[in-house]
Amino acid sequence: MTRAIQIPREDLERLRRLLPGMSTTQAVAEALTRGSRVLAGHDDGPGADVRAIDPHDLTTLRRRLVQEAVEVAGHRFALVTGLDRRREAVRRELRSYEEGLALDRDVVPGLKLEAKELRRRIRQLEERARAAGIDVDAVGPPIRWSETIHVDGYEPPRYESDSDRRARTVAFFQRVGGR
Amino acid sequence: MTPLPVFEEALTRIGDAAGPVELETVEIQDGKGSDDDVRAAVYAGMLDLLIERLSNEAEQEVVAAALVRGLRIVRSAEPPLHFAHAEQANTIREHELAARMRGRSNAVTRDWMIPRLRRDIEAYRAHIRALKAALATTGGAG
Repeated sequence: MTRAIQIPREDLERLRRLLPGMSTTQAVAEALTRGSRVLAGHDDGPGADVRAIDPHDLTTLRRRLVQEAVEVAGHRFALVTGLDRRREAVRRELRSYEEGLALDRDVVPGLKLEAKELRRRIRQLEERARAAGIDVDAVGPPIRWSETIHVDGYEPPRYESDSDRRARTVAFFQRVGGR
Repeated sequence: MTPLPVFEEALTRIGDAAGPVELETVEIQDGKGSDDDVRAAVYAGMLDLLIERLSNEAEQEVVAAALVRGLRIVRSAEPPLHFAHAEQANTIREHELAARMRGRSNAVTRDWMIPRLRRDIEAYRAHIRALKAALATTGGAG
């Protein structure tokens, strides 16, 4: 079975230089076979103090170094690929804010203000109807007020433009400078 | 380049994620385990080759010293990489959580509040028409 994996290019180039004459696929296959053999059944656990390893015990040193370097390479790979995930996460968050802002600024205020105005108009008309002796509760279609969205106290949010902020800043410094 | 600098440079680079790292996709025949397992085995093989080349061309004492130095290099690289990776994972989680929460809030606005406001507005308009009609019968519409 064939599969595709990603490896930092500079490490692959190093491997290609170590195994000249081999194609990338062959060099990777060779490293994989050799590396699987090296790693198989030789997990020494957490790192021992370097000073505690007999410097003449090349077999242990070699094995430990390979194990620990492989672990570091794994962290590095995760960190590198994490950059793309981070960019994507930031992009998704930004998009959610943009969508929210578009709804809260462009759609919701218009509807709420319209609803508020219509409710005001209804109160006005009901008052006049009552004054004219009309039973307003009998005028249909009825509105189930408890199920409506309460918008009577609604004020649309104010969004400042750059020019608003600039004008206010200039006015502030004019005021302060005038003292 | 002689094997010793190549060996030490390889270990230093393996622990350095500061610069841009370009990835290359390679085809692997028969890789058992996850992609991480396969990558780990490829790295183990590459490092073993580097050590073998060093061993073939240097005295045993030189090789031993290089291995001890190499171990120190990777051990000094591990904590900052580990920390940076954990911090990155946290940041990603925070961004994803914020996007999810905001997405839910947007969905409530888009799929619940806006249709409901539109429905309310329709009901208000119908009620206003009815009130005006009732007032008209008494001559008080306007």
